[in-house]
Amino acid sequence: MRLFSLIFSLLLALPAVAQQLPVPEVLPAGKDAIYRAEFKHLATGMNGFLAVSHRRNHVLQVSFNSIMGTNMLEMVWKNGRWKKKYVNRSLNRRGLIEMLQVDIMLLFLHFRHDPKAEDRGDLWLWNKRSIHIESRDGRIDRLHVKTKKHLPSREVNYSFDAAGRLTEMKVTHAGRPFSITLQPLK
Amino acid sequence: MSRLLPILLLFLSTAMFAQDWKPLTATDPTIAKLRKDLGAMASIKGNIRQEKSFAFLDDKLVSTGYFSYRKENRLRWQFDRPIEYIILIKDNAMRLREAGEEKQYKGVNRILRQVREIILGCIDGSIIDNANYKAAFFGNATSLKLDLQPKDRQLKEFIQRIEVEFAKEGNKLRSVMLTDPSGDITHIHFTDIRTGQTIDEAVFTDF
Repeated sequence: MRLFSLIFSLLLALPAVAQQLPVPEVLPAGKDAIYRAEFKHLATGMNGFLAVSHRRNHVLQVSFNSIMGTNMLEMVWKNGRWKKKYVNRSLNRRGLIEMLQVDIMLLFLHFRHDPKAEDRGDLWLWNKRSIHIESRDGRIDRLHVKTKKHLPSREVNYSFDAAGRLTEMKVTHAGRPFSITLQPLK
Repeated sequence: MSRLLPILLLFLSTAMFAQDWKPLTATDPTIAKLRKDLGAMASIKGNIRQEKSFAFLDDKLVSTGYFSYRKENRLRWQFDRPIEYIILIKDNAMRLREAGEEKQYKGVNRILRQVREIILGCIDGSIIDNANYKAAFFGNATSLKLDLQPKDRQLKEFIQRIEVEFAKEGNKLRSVMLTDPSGDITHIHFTDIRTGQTIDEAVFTDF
């Protein structure tokens, strides 16, 4: 029985060892979090909350809600693709949703779990983009995202407090007045 | 465990039937009195605790604050935590402030109009007779409940169901439960409700 439980626990531990990444997860597998979220486009902005669940099998589920509690958007990333579960009509524009999906994959460094992503150390190739990961003291500091024509596309910045807790992450778009800022709720 | 199971089941069934909601007709005297009391209410204020549940999360998102309402159509709805968020409604005008900054919305105005209609409707009771909803009434020993389902297709895309609960004693607003089309539930609990007090006009005009 002991031997069986030892083998079983080793089997459970193996995938975790195999998938250890040089820069730790923003939201580790098996964890949930709720973030204060701000979407900015031109001079207008929309505040709300982004609830995120990163399951052990790397399925990522997100839900954006207004401050009044209205569900605006719910999506699941599974097997390398996003599936919309609910999108409020006011947000249901193809370009916008696709942009949000890419931004979420970048913010949570979740592109690293996409089987189509190519790991070249600090440089990742994903979805016709090259992503350069900058880290400091073992923590993620910044992502530089470039298009296949080597043009800057997006930048993601991460801030931590003195205790090493993530306080803010923000994605900005080059040449496009759109940004998303996420702050974990305490 | 096998000995405990019947006791546990008995406890659960007692808890389930403790609410014991019985259907009421729209002409029931308790509903008529609720309509009359809400119609006569000059002002109301109290504390808000909003709990948003997500089908895929164990954690709930809890927001707290307070509200003030004065007849006709004056409302201040304020969350202080986790984000400061204030809605001011004065007649047909509506202003918003988020995290210390007054906001101008374009894309979500339709949603905000519906939020306004629901909040005001639940507080002043106008939602009972709102033709956009199919209403059902229920009562138990201590409370009255309105179960509202939107009829309009556009409204259904925004909200699936609204349940409003009033305390029978004084017909005071107790809670509002909103079910999203996605199945997520927002439960708003009202406490420390005070009616008939003088509320200054500035409460509805100044952030």
